[in-house]
Amino acid sequence: MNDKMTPSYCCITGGTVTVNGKRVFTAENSDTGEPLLTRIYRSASLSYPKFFKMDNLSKTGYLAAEYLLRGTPVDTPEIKPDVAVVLMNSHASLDTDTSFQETISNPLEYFPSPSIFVYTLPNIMLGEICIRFKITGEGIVFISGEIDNDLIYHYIAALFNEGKCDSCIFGWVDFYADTPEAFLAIVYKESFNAAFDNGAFSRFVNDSFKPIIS
Amino acid sequence: MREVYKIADNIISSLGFSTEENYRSIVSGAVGIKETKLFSPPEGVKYLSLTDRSKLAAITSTYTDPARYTLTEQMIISSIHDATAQTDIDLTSSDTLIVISTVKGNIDLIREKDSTGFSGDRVHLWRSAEEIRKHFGNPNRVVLISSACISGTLALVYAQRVLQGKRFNNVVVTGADMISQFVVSGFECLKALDNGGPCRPFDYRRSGLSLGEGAATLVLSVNKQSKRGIAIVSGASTNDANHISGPSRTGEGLYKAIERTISDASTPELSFINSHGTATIFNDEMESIAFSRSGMSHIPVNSFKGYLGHTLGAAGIIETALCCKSLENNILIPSIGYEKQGTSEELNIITVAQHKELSSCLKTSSGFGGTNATLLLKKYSDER
Repeated sequence: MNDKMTPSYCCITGGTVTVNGKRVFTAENSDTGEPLLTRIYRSASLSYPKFFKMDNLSKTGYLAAEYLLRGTPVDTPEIKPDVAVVLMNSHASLDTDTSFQETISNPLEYFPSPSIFVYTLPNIMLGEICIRFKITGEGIVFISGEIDNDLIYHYIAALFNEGKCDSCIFGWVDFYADTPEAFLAIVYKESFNAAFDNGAFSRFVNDSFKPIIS
Repeated sequence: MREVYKIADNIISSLGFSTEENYRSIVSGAVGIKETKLFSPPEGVKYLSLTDRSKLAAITSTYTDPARYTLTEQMIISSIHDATAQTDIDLTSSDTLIVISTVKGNIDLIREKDSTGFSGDRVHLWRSAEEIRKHFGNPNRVVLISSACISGTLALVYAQRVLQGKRFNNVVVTGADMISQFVVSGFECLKALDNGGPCRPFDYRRSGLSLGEGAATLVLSVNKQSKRGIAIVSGASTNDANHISGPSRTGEGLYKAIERTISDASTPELSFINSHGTATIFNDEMESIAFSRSGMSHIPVNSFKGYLGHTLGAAGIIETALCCKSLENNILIPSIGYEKQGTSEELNIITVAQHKELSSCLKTSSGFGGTNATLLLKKYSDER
């Protein structure tokens, strides 16, 4: 299996970032008071100012995608019509929904913000990833109480089998109660069926994404 | 390739509680969008398409105790009951899957001082879906799709694909969203609402969308129930990769989704297109460009938003159910609110109901996050 065909993955959990199991960021006690996601952004030496206007869910997905896709075939300036993105989470956009609700709850302080409202959809994080990497292929966001390996496996298999994409970025991106949680992986059509059946796929996800499984 | 058939449907909206009731109202030119002071941010009137909530509770009470379910859940339950009653599928069987599309679900429960009595965790879409699953005694985890305004169409695309595998033979696809202060305030602050009257898709005077609420169900199966009907042939989704809240200026994403859907299908000429047609300046303009680029400017096109408003997660399913009705009855439904060209590309907007032999239809949806979804419906007949 060459590099292009090897599935890779990235996790953001419990103040750490890992790429293919290797730790690339660990939160130290912050002396700047900066939020965790901003510190991850700075430590990765990224230069994508749009990051600062994203909501926390989009920031989480964007950062996971930056780490995941570095050095992969997707990390090019070209438009990619054959990359699919299949994401799942539990809280949808509830973190930003709560912020928006605060701007409309009190009729005396009613001041809804368009820049908050546009992030009250879970698929905006998918849109932000697509904008950054010029991905124009299939996209879907599922909501589930926990990561549903079975659903994701069968959907990716259907996308590959029906020729809807050549590679697929998939995973779990959630943000709630100040806690980012991401597991993002990329798999390729050439190797998907050889690397995975349903059981092997589940083991891959569970082994890679231990912090929230256990 | 397994063929996928639409075997039953239901629509719940301001214009009625069954597909038939909605269809008859719409062909007679009824508009469900009305002036109301409900849900208005501090002051002013709005034009909204609201469902009769007491009738909804009455209908729900024929199946279960409505007090145990939120309004969104009542709509989903009533819609699924009405649709599946037309079939012999078994909702308690492991080969039947329930797919729900919603944008905001029980968002009302997010309010601090909530008086509805529902536990706060029902604001989680999957918690709410679990209540639906239990009500029907279905053994499979409900698949929940929340991808903004394309959710309904995308749920149908998903269902068509999941039926290609062998795990399920029937998929019940339901979309639902209620109007809430949350969504009205949001679209209002984006200045996306037409506050002068019901929205006017594709018209030169259009100035924004009308919000609506409702639910709809399509029951899809690999086993056809009759010798003639509608097949769900193919579908696609794409991303503009351009802007999170503004539609693409070139219609690229929608154009690609259309290309992928049509090229899959070796379709002869489409009988009509049912567009997203929200009546915002930018959406309708983008669609006109995409249809033109696809060489479809001459194909009859309509939007149903002028009747029922934008029903968010229900929209794609309500509109697909109406497309099926249109195909079954060989009637092109007019795009209400349209008078004169209001997009840079000319379109063949349907302005009067026409009897015509119809064979196929393209349904399109586009939404925030740069998403687009398309679905191809075709009539089949085993009779000679």
